[in-house]
Amino acid sequence: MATENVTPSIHPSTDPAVYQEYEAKWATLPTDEETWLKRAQEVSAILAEDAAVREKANKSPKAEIALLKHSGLTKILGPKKYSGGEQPWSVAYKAIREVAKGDG
Amino acid sequence: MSHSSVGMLLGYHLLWSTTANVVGSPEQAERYAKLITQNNYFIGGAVNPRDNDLKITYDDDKITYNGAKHFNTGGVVSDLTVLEGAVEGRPPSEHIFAIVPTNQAGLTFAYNWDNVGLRLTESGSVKIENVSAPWGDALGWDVETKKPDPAVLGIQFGSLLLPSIQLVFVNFYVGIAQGALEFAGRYTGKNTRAWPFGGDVSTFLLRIFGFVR
Repeated sequence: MATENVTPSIHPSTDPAVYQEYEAKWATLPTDEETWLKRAQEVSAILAEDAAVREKANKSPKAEIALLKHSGLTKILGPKKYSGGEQPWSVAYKAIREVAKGDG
Repeated sequence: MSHSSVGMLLGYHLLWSTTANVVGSPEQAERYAKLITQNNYFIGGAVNPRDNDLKITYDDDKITYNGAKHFNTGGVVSDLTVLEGAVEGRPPSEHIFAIVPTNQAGLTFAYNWDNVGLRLTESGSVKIENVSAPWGDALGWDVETKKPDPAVLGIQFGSLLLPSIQLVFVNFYVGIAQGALEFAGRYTGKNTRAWPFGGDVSTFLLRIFGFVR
C-alpha cells in the first residue's frame, strides 16, 4: 500500500540496456491482429524468464517500459500516419492479456 | 511465473494515451495522438476517484493543479502524466483533464509502492504542486468561454473512459489467470507425482487443469 507521507527519494530502477537488442530486432511494426499478438507473446516470454527475480527486487520498471516501447505495443492504438499500429481496442485488449500471462 | 505488473502498465498507458480521443476536442485528439505516437511516449496518470479531487485554479492563460494522489500507476516511469481536477468556484461535476510533462518540479513522486502483488507498477503516491497547463490543453473545454465545450463534454461519449479502463483490468486479470494456469500445469506435469491417480500424470493433469502440457 502507498503510505501517507510524500517525500522525494532516490529509488533504484531496472536498466533499459538489458533489452536494448530488441530495439533493432523489432524495428518493424506488426501489421495485423495475428502478428501483433505474436509480438505481445514474445514480450511476455522475455518478461516471464525472470519475473520472480524482478518482483522481489521491486525496482522502478524503466527497463520493462523500454521493452514495451521497443515492441511497439505502446503505440498499437496510434494512427498509422504517425507510425502507430492503428489497431482497434479489441486487439489491444488481447495484447494486454498476452503480456499479463508472462508478467501481468 | 506471472506476477502481474507490466500488462497493467501497458493497459493503463493505452487508456491514458487515448484520453484526448474520449474527452478532448477533435483538435486535441489529433494533437495528442501525434505527440504521443510519433515520440513513442509512455503515459502515466495521477487520476483516481478514491482520493480527493485535485484543485484547479486558473487565470486568463492557464489552469493550475494542486493536490496529492495516493496511487499513480506508472507515473514514475512515464514521459507524460494525465491530471484530473475540479475547478475552484465551479460546479464540482465540472472536471478538467490535462496531459502534462512528467519531468517537472511540481510533480514529486514518493516511491512508496511496496505492495503484495502488482509490485512493479509503481503505483505509489504523488504530490502535485502548481502544475500548470495552457487553457488550450484543458481537454474538452472551450478556450474562449472557459467552460466545458457542450459538443465534447455535454454528450455521453466521455463516459466511455470508465468502461475502457475497466476492460483493461478485466483483460490483465484474465491474462494473469491464464498465465498462472499454464505455469501450474507445466509445473505439475514436470515436478509432481499424481498421487490420487496412482502415478498417472496425464489423467491427473486432465482432471485438474483440463489439459496436458
